Amino acid sequence: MADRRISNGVARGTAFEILVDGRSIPAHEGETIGAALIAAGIHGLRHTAKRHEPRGMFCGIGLCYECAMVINGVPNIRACQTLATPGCTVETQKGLGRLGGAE
Amino acid sequence: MSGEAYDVVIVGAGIAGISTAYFLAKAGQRVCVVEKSVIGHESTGRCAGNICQSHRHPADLPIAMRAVQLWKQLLQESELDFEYREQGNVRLAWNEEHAAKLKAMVERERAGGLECYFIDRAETRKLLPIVDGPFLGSVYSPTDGSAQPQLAVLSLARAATRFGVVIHEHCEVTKVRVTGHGVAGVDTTRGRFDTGTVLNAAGAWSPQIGQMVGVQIPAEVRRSHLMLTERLPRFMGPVVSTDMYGYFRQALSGNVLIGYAARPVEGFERRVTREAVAIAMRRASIIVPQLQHASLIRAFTGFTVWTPDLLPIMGPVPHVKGLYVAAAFCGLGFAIGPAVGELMAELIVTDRTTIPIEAYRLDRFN
Repeated sequence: MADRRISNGVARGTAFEILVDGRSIPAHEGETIGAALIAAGIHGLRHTAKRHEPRGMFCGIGLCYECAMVINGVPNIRACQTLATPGCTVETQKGLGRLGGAE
Repeated sequence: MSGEAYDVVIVGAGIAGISTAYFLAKAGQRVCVVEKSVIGHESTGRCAGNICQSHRHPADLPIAMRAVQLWKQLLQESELDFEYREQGNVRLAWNEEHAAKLKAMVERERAGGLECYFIDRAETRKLLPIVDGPFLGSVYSPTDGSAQPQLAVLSLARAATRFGVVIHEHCEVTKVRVTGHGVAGVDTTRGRFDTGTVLNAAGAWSPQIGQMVGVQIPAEVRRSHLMLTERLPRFMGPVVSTDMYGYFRQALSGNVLIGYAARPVEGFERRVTREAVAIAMRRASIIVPQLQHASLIRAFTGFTVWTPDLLPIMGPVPHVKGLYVAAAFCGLGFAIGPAVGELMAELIVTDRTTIPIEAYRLDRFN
């Protein structure tokens, strides 16, 4: 997977890995999950409830909820507002968040 | 607009006013509704839309049952789906004393023709697997239900205008004109209307309208909160009523409505309080534990209007010929709205009602 980060002259936090739908992608300390996903070229973050259409980040500033994903088992979490942590699990959310939260 | 004459002028375009307008117009009356804001802006548009026949004052039961028949008819006639659904209501019982009271209520209501049952905890959890908390059983009334109140009153308003009702929004009553012969008309911020009959259906403002002609309406305005979660997959069938822990209903869209009981309030303070939201959510977590993981997206308030005996006020205003009141429904007005309209229209046109409303007379407070 291509890494779209600008490297020239940019110092980043510690590198680690996060799991996205079971696959490992790189992330750095201080990055949001949304940023790590875009850097890895992943744009489809969830599917709509009625027509199962893909959606991705829109506002990027925590207002629109288009980037809602299942993060560490909890649905409806905004990827653009959640910092990546080593080993965190991120899943494409299919439709409405299922009840029950982290299991 | 000035000096227009009508058979009836109705003050307030909430469910009571709009319903009455609809039935009056169907009976051939020329009706005008004057509304200080917009249709359904106040209590009607801010309520949860629950339509309960069970757990009301005994005098209300025939009216509540008639209302359910009318809701069904209105939905059929409506071009707009206002989400009236008969999903049932479950009312939780907290202890033996409470259960005994509810069982007696079930007996009385069944004798009145309502289908309802007292069921034990296990049966309750079969109906509602997601319900928890320290309850030992419940009353299940399968013919209770709900609707989306803003859509419902809008649908009824449209139907009323098709029968010729005129609705003036942003039109505030400034004076009710009364002569020696009774009501002569109303003055509003958008002109004068002449009529021999005025219905005060102004909800939280009905005492103010009453004051305009020196009529005392002993009703207290309280503030109720309603909260809404994000859309969730369907997990609740019936409406859950708890008396002490609030009430819960999952709307068709998937959002869960959480109601918090009315509290007295100074003036017309509309602000949502943190305390109400915190208490309601804490209680919600006890009754529907999975809601702990749901996000709240909206909270708002509405006014409910309460009489000392918890019965509404419906009927003529003594000593003022042509003046009527339909208000102060103690938080349960939406459910019976269409029946209130039918009865008030009957009263105004024929001076009698097919279901007794003597218990609701304004002069019972003297």
